[in-house]
This record gives sequence, structure tokens and C-alpha cells, in this order.
Amino acid sequence: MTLPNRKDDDVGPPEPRRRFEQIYTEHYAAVAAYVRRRADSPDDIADLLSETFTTAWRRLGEVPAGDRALFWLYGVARRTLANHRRGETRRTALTRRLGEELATWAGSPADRAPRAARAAFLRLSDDDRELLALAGWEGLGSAEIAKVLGCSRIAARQRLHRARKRLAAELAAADEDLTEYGPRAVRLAKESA
Amino acid sequence: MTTHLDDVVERLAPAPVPAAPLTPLARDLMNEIMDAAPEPAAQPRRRWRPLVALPVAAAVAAAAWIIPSALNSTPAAALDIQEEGGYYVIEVKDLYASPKVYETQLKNLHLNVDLRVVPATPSFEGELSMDTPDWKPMTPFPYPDKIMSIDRPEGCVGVGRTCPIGLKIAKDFTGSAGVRLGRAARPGEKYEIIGSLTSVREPMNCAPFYGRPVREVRAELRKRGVTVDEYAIRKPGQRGKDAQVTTSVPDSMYVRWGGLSSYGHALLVVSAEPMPDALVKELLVKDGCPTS
Repeated sequence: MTLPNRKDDDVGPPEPRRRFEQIYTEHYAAVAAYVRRRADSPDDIADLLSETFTTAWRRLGEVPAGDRALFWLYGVARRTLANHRRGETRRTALTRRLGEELATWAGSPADRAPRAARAAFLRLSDDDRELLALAGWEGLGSAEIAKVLGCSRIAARQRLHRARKRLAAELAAADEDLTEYGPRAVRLAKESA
Repeated sequence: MTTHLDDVVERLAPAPVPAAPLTPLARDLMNEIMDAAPEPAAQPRRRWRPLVALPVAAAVAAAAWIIPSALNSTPAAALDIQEEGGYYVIEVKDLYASPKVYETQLKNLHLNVDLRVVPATPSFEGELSMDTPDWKPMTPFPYPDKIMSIDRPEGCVGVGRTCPIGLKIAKDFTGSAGVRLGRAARPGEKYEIIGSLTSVREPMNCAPFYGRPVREVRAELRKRGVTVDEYAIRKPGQRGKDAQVTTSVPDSMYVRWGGLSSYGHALLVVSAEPMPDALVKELLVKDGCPTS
């Protein structure tokens, strides 16, 4: 609800709460999609969302304005996932309930790629997988990936190129028909042979 | 092309689903996150000016305000408490602190004052109201020399409003007092302190309201994101508590009063008889609105 008589100098929730509410409501769906694609089980999605946005609240002053807030949140979610995989997760009654609700939303975690392609992808390092996922799952370009990873645009482009090269090599090693993935995949695989 | 490689990666992701909806549970998580940790210190924030809303009959003497002292030694203090002669002068610094934090600070002063933070409509956000157990309706406030409000001298507009900005409690006060502090409501919450829809900062301040047909007021409220879900029908000579409450009334009835009941919802008091023009003007003046 927006009350029309509200002005910035009105008595109301303090500014940090308003800003956090805006960030949360704008980016909740995108962050939920990000963690859903990477979580080992749908039950983990609520924990990861909770921890990612808790970090955003604690470090609200560091969250950039506008669309860049989402890339910052992806960066936090990425580190949260790493901690989560090390077992550093706190689960509350609320995140448990939200987890049940999100499990219904998240559906089956099954992917739609050939088993060999999945195996090739899993043989890559965590960093390579994340670079490729940011491009292939979130649809980010190298400039946006640079913001998520906190590196320069040139570095992001080079790292993405190398990750693609290694994926092509892994696909070739798995005897996949690289022509299916385009001539560049063939060339990248040859480069790394 | 690289897109082909990205395609194979794309197909490794779980099958697409619609965007995760921001359900009430997801909103609860948002509020839990903010309530669980203190506000980020690096953020610039406006100093909170609380208003103490004692009802008119009990609004008492004004006094000087805030002298720094060592009473706020904890960095996370939710209340700003200063000593002034034989009194503690109390200001609320953090509306969203845990009730435990308030309790601890008040207990440290050996005061039996129970402070509750409750949802309040916009004109009462940040205000304190006395809710003292020993105070019988329609009788004078029982501790006029022990608990005092400090009123805001300027910019206080509204029927029956005193707009106080502080609370003074005598150090030797041994009775028990209850104080309710209004904060903004969250989606789904009912308001516990309700101001008129026409007060300053409320949705219908200076908008067509008093004596207007229900149809028109409901449309104006809808534009402001507020749905009317209850009507109290007042008949001539009838007392407020005897009004019939219903969920729908004829569009042609006239609006006499209204207030937000829960987040995004309002109650209207209506009547079959139009309001006299003179009364409408008087109410507009009291709300600080132009009369023509």
C-alpha cells in the first residue's frame, strides 16, 4: 500500500528499513532463482535466501544502487552457497516453513542436458562452473559477471573464455559430438588439446 | 559459437519455473531479518522524534527536554533516557528494537513501566500512548505529578491531538504504567492505535471525505491503495458503540468518519443523513485543511 500523503520527512519506518524492503521485494525472485539453480536440494533455498538477505541487511551501506544491487546480491549468494556447502547454516522455524513452501515452487531439480554434458560440467572447477552458470543461467554478460565476482571486466571476459575452453575440452574428452555445440566449441577444444 | 556452449550450460539448470512469489512467509522472512539484527550503523538516519500521546484530559505540563547523561551507556540502547531533577526524561531511539531491550533499560531504572510497540496508523507512528492499568475510563489520569507528557508546541494539527514529544517519569514513581508506542504496520497486521483517515499523514487528509457519498470516498481510497471492508451505520441520536457494523452499505450513504483498520484496509462510519455544511467546515479546519 502506498499512502499518498507520505513524504520523506514524515515519521515512518527509518530509511534503512525502507531501503532494505525495496531491495528485498525487487530482487527476491531473482535471488530465489539463483539459489534454486545451485542448491543441492529445494529445502536449502530458504536458508540460502535468508542468509543472503541477512548479509544485505547487515551491510546495507555497501549495497549499490539500482540494478547493480542484484549483481551484488548474486555475489553474496555465491559466497553464502560456499559456506552452506561447508555446513555453516543456521535454520530457524520460519526458514523451515518457507523452505516447505519453496520446495513446492522449485519443482524437480532434474536438468535437461545429456548425462555426458553434465559430467563434463561437473569436472570443471567451482569457479569455472560459476562463470558459465552466470552466463548461461542468469544470462549475464562479462561486464555484469565482473560485478558479481568483484573483478575487472577484462578479467571476467578472459576467465569466461577460459572456462568455455575447458568445458569444450571436457566435452571432447567425453566423446561428445562437439559440432552439436557449434564450431567455436570445436575450435576451443582444439586450442586446449 | 559461445552461445552453443552457454546453451548446454543452460540446459544443466533445473527446468524453468515461474518467478518465486513474494508470499506472506517471504515477507515474514524480510521482517525477521530486520528485527533480528540492529539497523546497519553506517546508514545515515534521521533522528527519531517520538510523540507521547496522552489523551487530551491527561495531557499535562510541558517541560525542558533532553540533557545528556550517562544513562545510555549501551551502544544498542533503544531508549534515550536522561536525568532531569527528580525525573527521567525518555525518548525512543529505535522503534524496531526488541521489546526485551526496552524492558531491560526500564528495569535498570527500577521503573515498573511496560512499553509495548504496536502497529499504529500513520498519524500515530512514533507516538506513545498511556495504557495504564489503574486508569479508569472518563477519569483523570491517576499520576499527573509522576508521569508527564511533553507536548510539541508547533505544527500539531488534528481533532483532539496534543502531539507531545516526550515522557517524564518521576524517579520515585512506584505504581505501574503501561505505554504503547506506535510503529508502521506491516502487511497483514491490524492497527492497535487508530487515527482518523483525515488527520495529517493519514490517507484522506484534506481529500473529499466528510459528508461525501460512500461511492466517492471508496473510489478515493482505492486510488490510495486502501480497501473499505467494514461500515458502521450511525443513526440520529445513537451512540457510537450501538452502531450497526456491516460489510456493505448503499453507495448513496454519507461518510462521517473513518480509520485504517489493518494494513491497506479501512472502516467507514456512515449515515443516511447528510452532514451539515458548518460541521464539515469545522472538521476541515481542525484537520488543518482549506474549507473552500
